[in-house]
Amino acid sequence: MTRRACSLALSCLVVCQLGERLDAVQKDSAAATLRVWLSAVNQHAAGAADAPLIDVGSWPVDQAFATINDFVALVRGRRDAQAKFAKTGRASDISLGGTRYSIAQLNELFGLTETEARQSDVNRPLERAVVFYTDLATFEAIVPRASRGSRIGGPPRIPLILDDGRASLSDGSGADRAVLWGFARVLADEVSPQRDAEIALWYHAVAALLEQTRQWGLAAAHDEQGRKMRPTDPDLVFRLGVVHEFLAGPQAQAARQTLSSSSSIRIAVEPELDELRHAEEAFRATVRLSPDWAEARLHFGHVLGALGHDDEAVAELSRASDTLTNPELRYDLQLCLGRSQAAMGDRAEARASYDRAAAAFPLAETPLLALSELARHAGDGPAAIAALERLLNLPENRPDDPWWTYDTSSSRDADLLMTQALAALGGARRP
Amino acid sequence: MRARWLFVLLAAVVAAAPLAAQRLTFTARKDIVRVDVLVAEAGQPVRGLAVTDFDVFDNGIRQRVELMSAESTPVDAILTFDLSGSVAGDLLGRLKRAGNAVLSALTDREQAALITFSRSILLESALTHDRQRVRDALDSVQSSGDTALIDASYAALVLGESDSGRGVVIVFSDGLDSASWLSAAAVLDTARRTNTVVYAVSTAELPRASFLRDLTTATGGTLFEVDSTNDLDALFVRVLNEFRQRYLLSYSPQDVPPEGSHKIEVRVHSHPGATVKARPGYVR
Repeated sequence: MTRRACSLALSCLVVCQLGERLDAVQKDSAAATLRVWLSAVNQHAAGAADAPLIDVGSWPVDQAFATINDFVALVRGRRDAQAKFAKTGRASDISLGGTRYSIAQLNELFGLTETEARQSDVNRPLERAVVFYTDLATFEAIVPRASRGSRIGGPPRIPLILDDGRASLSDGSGADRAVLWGFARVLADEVSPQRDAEIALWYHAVAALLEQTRQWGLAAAHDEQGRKMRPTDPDLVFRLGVVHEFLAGPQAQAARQTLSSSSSIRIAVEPELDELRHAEEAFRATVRLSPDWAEARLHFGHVLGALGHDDEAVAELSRASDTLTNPELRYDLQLCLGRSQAAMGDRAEARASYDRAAAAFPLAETPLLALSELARHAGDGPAAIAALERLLNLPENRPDDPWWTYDTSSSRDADLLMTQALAALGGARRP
Repeated sequence: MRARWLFVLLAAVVAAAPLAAQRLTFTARKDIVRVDVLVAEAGQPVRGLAVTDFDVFDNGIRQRVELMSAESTPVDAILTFDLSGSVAGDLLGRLKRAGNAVLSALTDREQAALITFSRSILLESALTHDRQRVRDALDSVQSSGDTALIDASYAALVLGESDSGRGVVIVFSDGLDSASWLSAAAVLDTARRTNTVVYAVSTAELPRASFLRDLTTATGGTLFEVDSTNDLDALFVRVLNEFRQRYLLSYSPQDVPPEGSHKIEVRVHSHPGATVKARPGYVR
């Protein structure tokens, strides 16, 4: 009995001693890792797939996550210490995981300039890190390490590849990019309110980029966080509406149907009606925040029409029509207007709207199809045939119908926005 | 009775002529209702029935029907093929072979047309007796893009209303619609206003509520959901043969409202145990 107890105590002692050694190693390791990470962030040239980016990009996701957590904790600690100094006149060290940092050490670690250090401006390293993870998430050449089995974020969320209405599981790199964008947002959300406009622009630019590249799942997560952080920013609320509008559309809904029989996969697309209602709510909020935004009213009108609220849709679209100048968007608007007018039984007005769309883009199919069906529904066979004849006799090598890119039309300035956002964060991209 | 406007497609004279040369024209026809009826027992079509074997009810009112002969109403086969990006490689090759099998099975009096769709709808060949022309068009098609299944079905239904032929649309698709402008409801409404029968072959497992299922039901056709496309050509020929063995009944509606939704019921009193398949109604 005694012997056994001793044995247990001994083993415990050995374990404890070993544990202390491991803690020390891990503590040193975490601090060293943070130094390496900060060094890479500070050395990285925005827009370049340089060695620091490639190096940190190869880190396991859990390691990067822990390091970013440490960095954010130190940023907060640095801010608290500064506030305390301002109040008491006494500087205190910042402790993290058993390692103590003086303010001077943190200034050096963060790579602050003298001015930044004097002003206690820790936004710069945060913004550099945002630019760093923006580059990491956008460079296709850099393949992040798989996050499967990671402790981050509950059950695995694997992005789906949507192709021709079918959904298939991605190879997992999409999931890793989702994590990288998540890191960028964690860092962006730590930037102090003095730089709010710049961070809002970054949120807006990333949203547009994800839309433009049709990474709708990533866009949804990004836009939800963007709206949560900035609920009165019309740009970000609008972006979230655009994502739900796409998710209500045939591509996403077809994918949802193909996966609905699978018990092991739950696709993050709600039924059409629910997605439309999410979009409606976001667009209604957008036009309340920005009443003169014609493009938002176009999307709002389209969604209202899809929900069957055609009288309200016609009102919104008519209002947008007064100020919308982009030819493709005006074309989209006429199509949406015609559809709602037809649903209300205003066939003459619907025909006029479709005719305007057809006149603006004579090689586009959609208005001709709409005109044909409108006539067919009214029992006007010859007119239905005439419109269909025009459609079927369009030249084979014709330009794409602008309606086909309606879902990404609001991301047409994505590249410009991203350039502006990175410049605002001090990370102008190299040509 | 209101006059209804139908149309015919004129085949282009020169095989290599651009699509712009394909002209659609129209003919007027009396307002008659046509009902294509398949009668089967033990899975096999029942042949040799006479008009006196049928009872047809329009909104519950028995109608005086005529049985149109196959000679007077040759088949117009509208091949409507999904050429979206996922229909590639072997599948595209099998689809072409299946289309060619249908063309080979047509008689000289029968016509064929070819519509292909991805995001775009293309009339590769208008209705024509010149099967080689359709064959050439079929051989040259390539696949890419999304699936505007609903839009293309609308175009095929309208084409299927051409002249006095007996329109059958054979739709092949390997998936769900992902790109159409028209709503499923609008095209199903069109389907109920036409006499064309739609058969569909889908390589995808379709949900219970799906456009192709509804479309084939509304027109009295059949949906085939296939796991394998190895025997696609045999299936297509089977579709054509089954369509030919249907009875084409017609009547001028009597004692029913001229407009609105009409329910059709067809009975074969000489074969009470037979399965009778016909479109369930029509809309005027």
